[in-house]
Order: sequence, then C-alpha cells, then structure tokens
Amino acid sequence: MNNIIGNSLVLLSLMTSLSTSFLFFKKNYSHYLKTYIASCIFCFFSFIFLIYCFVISDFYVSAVYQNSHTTKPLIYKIAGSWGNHEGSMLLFICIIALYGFAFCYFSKNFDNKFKYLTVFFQNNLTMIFLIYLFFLSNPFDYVSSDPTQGLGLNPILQDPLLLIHPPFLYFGYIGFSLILSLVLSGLINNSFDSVWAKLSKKWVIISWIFLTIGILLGSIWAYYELGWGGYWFWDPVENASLMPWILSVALIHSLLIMERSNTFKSWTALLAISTFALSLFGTFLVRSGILNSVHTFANDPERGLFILGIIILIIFFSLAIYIFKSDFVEKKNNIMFLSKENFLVFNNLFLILFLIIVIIGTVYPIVLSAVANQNISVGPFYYNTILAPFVFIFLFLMGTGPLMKWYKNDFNAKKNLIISIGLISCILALIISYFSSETNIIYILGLIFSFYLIVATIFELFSSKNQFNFKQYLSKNLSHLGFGLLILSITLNSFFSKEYNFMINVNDKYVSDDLEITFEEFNISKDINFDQFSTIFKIKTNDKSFTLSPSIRKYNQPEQLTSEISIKNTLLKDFYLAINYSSIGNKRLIGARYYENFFILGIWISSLIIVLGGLSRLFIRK
Amino acid sequence: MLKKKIAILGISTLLISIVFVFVILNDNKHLPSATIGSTLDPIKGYLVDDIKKSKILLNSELNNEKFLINIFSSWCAPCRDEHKYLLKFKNSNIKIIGINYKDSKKNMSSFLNELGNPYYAIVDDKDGYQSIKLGAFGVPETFLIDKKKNIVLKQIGPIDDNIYIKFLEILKK
Amino acid sequence: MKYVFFILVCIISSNLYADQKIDSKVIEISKNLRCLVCQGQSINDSDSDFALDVKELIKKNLKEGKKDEEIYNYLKLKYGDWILYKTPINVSTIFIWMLPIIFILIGLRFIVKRIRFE
Repeated sequence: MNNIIGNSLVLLSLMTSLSTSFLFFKKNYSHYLKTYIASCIFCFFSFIFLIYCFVISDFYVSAVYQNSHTTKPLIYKIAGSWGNHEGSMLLFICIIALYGFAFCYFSKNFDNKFKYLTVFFQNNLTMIFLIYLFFLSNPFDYVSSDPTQGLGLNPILQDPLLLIHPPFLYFGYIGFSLILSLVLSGLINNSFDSVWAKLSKKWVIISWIFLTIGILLGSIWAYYELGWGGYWFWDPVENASLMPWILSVALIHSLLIMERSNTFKSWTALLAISTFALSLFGTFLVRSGILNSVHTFANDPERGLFILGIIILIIFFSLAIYIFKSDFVEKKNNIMFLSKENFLVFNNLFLILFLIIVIIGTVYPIVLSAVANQNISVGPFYYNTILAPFVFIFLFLMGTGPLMKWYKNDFNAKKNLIISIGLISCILALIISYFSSETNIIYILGLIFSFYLIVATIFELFSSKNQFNFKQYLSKNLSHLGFGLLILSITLNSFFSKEYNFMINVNDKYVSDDLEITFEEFNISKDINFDQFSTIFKIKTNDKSFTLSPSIRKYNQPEQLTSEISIKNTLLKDFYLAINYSSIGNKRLIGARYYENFFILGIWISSLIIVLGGLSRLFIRK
Repeated sequence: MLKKKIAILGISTLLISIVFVFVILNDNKHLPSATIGSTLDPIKGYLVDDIKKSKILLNSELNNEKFLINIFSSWCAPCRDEHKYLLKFKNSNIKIIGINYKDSKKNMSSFLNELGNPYYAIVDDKDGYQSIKLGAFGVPETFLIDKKKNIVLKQIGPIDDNIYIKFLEILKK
Repeated sequence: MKYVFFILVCIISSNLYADQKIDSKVIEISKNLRCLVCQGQSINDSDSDFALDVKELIKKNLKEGKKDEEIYNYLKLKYGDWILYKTPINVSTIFIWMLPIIFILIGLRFIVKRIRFE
C-alpha cells in the first residue's frame, strides 16, 4: 500500500516537472511557476512519506527493509531514510527542488525571462534525477518476501552527528546546482554581468556555508567515532567533498572581481559550472563504489554507470552553452600589477593548484589501477609534502592582498606595514618555537606564515576607519582570521600530538615517560540494540590524573563491533583513549590507543570562525 | 572557431567518459598479489611423519615437483569449509605445506584429528612472519608453487569447487 | 654496591628509553603503510590481525637494527607499491609529483601575460 503512495508521489512530481518544461517550450508562462512549485511540493512530500515509512517500519518498502530494524531508536530510523543510496538520492532531488523553490520565492522582482530560464534549468536537473530515481534506484520498491524484520543500519552510522552531516553536505553540493542554472540563464539571457554577480554571490555563499559545516561535521564525526585519533586522513571520500569546497572559495573571490569591474566573466562562468560538476563528480565517486574508503556507506557499482551518464550529459550541455555564449568583449591587460584584483587572481591560481593536487591524488591511483593494472597508494604524506610550501605562499598572499587597493599598484606605500607585520609574526613564531623547543623548519615556517595572516587580518579589523568600513570587510576578515587560526592549529597539532599503542590486561599498568595508565576495571552490560563492554582507565600524567572510560559495543543488527572512545577535553589538548579486543598468541588482551591531541578545539573553533565569516556576509547589511 | 571548440569539448568529454566507464567496469578491487612470480623464500618447518618434529629447511625437501602452501588456523571458520578440498589434494598425491597461523599446538592437533591431516609438512607461524613472507593477508590462503619454486597462483579466502578445479588443472599440467 | 646499582639503573633506563624510541618509530613507519585488508586505513590505525602482524614485524626488525628503508623495501617486495602510503617517486608516480609544479609555472606565465605593469 505504502509503496503505491510513495511511487505515486514520485511519479506526480516527475509528471509536473515534465509539464513545467513543456510549458516553457510552449512559452506559456501563466501557470509555469505554479506547475514548477507543485512539482517541488510533490517531491518534498515523497521524501516526507519515505521518512514516515521508516518511522512506522513498513518493511514492504525496500529502502526500509534494507536499512532499518524495529529495535532501532526512533531518531536513527529517521536518519536511516538518507543513510542509503535510494533515500539519499531522493533527498538529493528534494534539495535541488528546495533551492529552486527558494529562488522563486526570493526573486519576485527579477527580470521575468531570467527567472523563467533559471527555473527551467533547475527543473531539468530535478527531472533527470527523478527519472533515474524512479527507474533505477527507487526507494519505494516492493519487497515481496513478506518481511517481518529489517536488515538494520551500519552501527557506526548510528551517531547523532551523522544525522545531520549528510544533509548539510547535500545542501552544500546541491546549492551549486542553482549557481549552474543561474550561470546558464545569465549567459543565454545576455545578462551575465556585475549585477548578476551580486545576486549570485549570496547563493554561492549559502552553499559554501553548508558545505563548510558539512565537511566540519564529517571531520568531527571521524574524530569521535572512528577511534584513530585523527580528524582528516586525505581519504578519497573526504577529498570528494573538499574539491567543490576549494572551487567555491575560488568562485567567491572571482565573483568579487566580476562584481567590482565587470571583467573576468568567462573565467567566473567556467568556475561556476565546474563547481557543480565537481559536486556531482564527488557524489559519483562516493556512490559508484569505485573507492576503497572508510566512509563509503551507500554505494552501488551498477548504478555508477548511469550516474556517470547523467553527469556527463549535464556537464556537456552546460559547457556547450558556455562555449556558445561566453564570447565576452573584455579588455586585455586590464589587471594592474599588485592591485587587489591581481591578488584575487593569485588566489584563484593557488586554489586551482590545490584543487588539482587533490584531484590527481584521488583520481590518479584509481585510473592507474584500471588502465595499467598498477596499484599505488596516495596518502597524507603526498598531500602534506606537496601542499605545505604552496599553502605558506598562499597564506602570505592572503594576508597581503586585502591591504592593497583596487585598480592601482599601491605596494610601495604599504611596504613598511608588510615588513612590520612580517617581523611581528617572525617574533611570535620564534617565541613559540623557543618555548616548545621544536625547531623543525616546516613547523617554524607554518607558524610564521599563519601568524602573518592572523596579524594582518587583526590589523585590518581594527584599523577600519569607520563603521561602514568595518562592516564591509567583517565577513572577509572573520573568514581569513579563521583560516589563519586553522592552519596554526593544524601545524601545532601535527607537531605536538603524541600517540601510544599498547596491550593491557585488567589491573595492569602501562608506563612511558611521565605517563602512567592503569586498567582499573571492566563491566559488561546490555542495551536494546547492543551489548557493551565498558572499562575504566586511570591516567596519570605529570600534571594531572583523571579517569577515561572507553568501551566496546557489539551491535546485534547487523552484528558488528564498534569502539566507543573516551575523551577528556582541555583547552590545550585532548586526552583520547580507544580500546578494542586483541590478543597475543592465545592470551586475550585489550589493545589500547592513547593519544594526546593538541589544539583539536582550536581546529573546530577556527573552522567555526570561517563559517561565521560567511554568515555575517548574509546577515549584516552594508 | 566555435565548431572547433565544440569538437574539442565533445572529444574530451568522450575520452573522459571512456576512462571512467573503464574504471567502473574494471573490477580491480581484488587485493594485488605482489609475490606471484617471485621465488619462494626459505621456510622452515617439520615433516608430519617425523616423530621428533625437528625443524628443517622445507625448500630443499620438495624437489622437482609442484606443491601447495596453505595458511590455516584452528580458530578460522572458513578453514573448516575448505578442508575437504585439501584432503582431496592429498589423495591425488599433492604435497601441501601447512602454515599454522597464530595458533596453539594443542588446538591445531585437535583440529587436524577431527578433520583429518592433509599436510605433508607444517610450519609454525606464531607471529605471522611466515605469512608476511608469502605476501599473505590472513587465513585461509593457498599458494601454488611450481617446479622452479616460483609462486604461480594464489587464492585469498577459502577454496571452493571452481578454485579447486583451477588449481588441479595447473598442478596436473 | 652502590656503584653496581647505579650502572644497573642506567642500563635499565637506557633500555626503556630505547624501547620508547622504537615504539614511536613503529608508529611513524606504520602510519606510512596501508592496511591492505581494511578500507582506507593505515596499518597504525588498524587493529586487524594483518596490521598487528606487520607492526610486530616492524618492531622486530627495528630491534635487529634494520633501517627504515630496508623495512619499507621488504614490505614493498611482498605487497607491492599498494602498501606504501608514502608514495615513492618512480616512473608511474612522477606525474602526480610534477603536475602541480608544471601547473603553477604555466599559470604564472598566463597571469603575467595578462597583467599591466604600468
């Protein structure tokens, strides 16, 4: 029964979506927007209905059968609706529709032709994915085997952070679908100019905020749930989310030039198209099952081909329109050396460089293995080695650029300022390096350059001449400050964090340096959907002593062991303990990993400051 | 000019999609086996019919014949499933060196008493170094060694009907 | 007697120190190795039997005084380049090491051509 309702909702949405496009071609605009909005609403209802099916555990619905179980807490039943391929596809489509819906709402006083075109493209995206969903990955498929119980959800996904992580990421990725529609309609409508840049920037920033929060949540989840003490592993799935993020940052900066001087259009259009293309590509990498990764939970190789086909179709048509319509007459050599624009161009150059590094690091091993049957691994070592020097230069440019003037070369007038900021940051770096007695050259360079950006940004924040000036640059200053603090925290974290791996039995002690860890007791308990082996460890370091209580859970549906870590947070460092069952020969022991992670809090907070910068752009009126 | 650009776009899209279709269709997710084709490193163990169980170099023991190396353990459930195939190999006079992975002597002998002993010689591998020597990932794993003492074939995971036939074909060649 | 005791303490503590040094070295090396039976984890981050064996092997080799390179090479011989997260520079990987540098040079040249200096 519910299968029929669900399918009809999807089908209704598809039909109205088809008629929207039909009305557009017929140039019959009287009911055009209403039809589109109806299609969006049917789409929302079908997703809400899917959630309802999960809540009532209707196992005749295939997505529910495969990913849910009656013993699961209600909240994870709900989350189960987007923790699988079919459901997440439906969410994906809903968000495309939601952005289109929001655009209709906020664009009441726009030029009609531009509005209709944008809705047309947005509608087509919904349509293509709805067709794919309905025929190839339908969450409402009927389960004919009379199921009384579902198969359950991967226990490491049963985490509150993971409830909200995928939706945020999707809101980020898919926001760029609207940017794509805006670009294409701007190009066709011949209104791709500084006014366009101004109105699109808001949408780019909204998507960027969602994407940033999504990545941050993923990272926090990995840190607290996966139990290896890290927050970023340069894993292909992580990289897939980083690629559109890097491009969207480049896009925000190139929009600044376009908004200011109505140039740089061709490049901006290309960036905007590529941002959505990479968002799709990321989804494809994750969903097609070609990756070996800790994070791929919802994938399916056969459907990979179809998603690939859709992506290629979208990218090909977008680029074809771009090629036809991007013959802008732009003055050559219109950017003054060392002007603000020049630094924004450098920003784009470096961001594209970072993007290329992430792309080849992710894709090259996959392609090499398929084409030449050679397996290589690209890991943190590659990214850290090759990114570090460029990030340092990038930080310098990032601190210096905003001090410059639009249109003219003002470098000589600011020379003393730059030198003094440089000196201050060197002194700060040397002081820290002295007190931390660490003299690694990368460490010191990392300190100097991140301090340079931080000091320069703080200087700018407090030297603004008036209220207007302060407000105008607040969002930029916050985001830049956040980035500087982020690199600083990452540098400090990677050079100070300590790790100890050892095997231990109850009542035993592990001693190393000034650290003493005692395994005091353990306890076995039962919960609805898991059994728990919980422990108490006493940790004594030189300055304090406290207890940590990590545990191991055995989930029963599906059967799987997970390690629940225990953390004591302090401002400066986290004390982090994870355990698992282990053995030497026949002796059953507890394998423990103990970490002292520095400045993790700093990493989260500085990322939040970056997000805050974006938010302040949206909410503070200039 | 425009035509040329469109052509370039078309061709590059086509090329990229071909590469990715290839990537998806090519199911290269099996674990790569770097030791295939390499010569067997020296391994030491005892012959099953030697009562004293004195350790000898097994490489020189098996001359001019093809044989199998099988990694097993009493605690490994799939090893039980594949055991009947190992006995079949033994019955067709194929010698198998068993590498006993992270196991106790007691458990191993009760395992072999229960299911029958298909091995010609046994190597004790308490710490897993012997398995690493072969480039193994875990238990069970089976290697086929040719007359020149090169590793020619490898099965990760338990042997089933198809694998058994595949191994037998090469052994009988 | 005191003297003997003192030497004993020295030996024990130096042994302890060496042990800790080896432990952190094991972590350093195993971070650069892929756990082949896991999905996207390093040997250091994994608790699978395979990862534990390799860690023990590294420890044993370090105690025998083997150099890092020898350990990497041995594992590479047994498992191929796939195990090395520390991507080596060779014919098949030179591309990923060189491309960023080539890109930045081309990009800079492109920008310089489009910039007005006066």
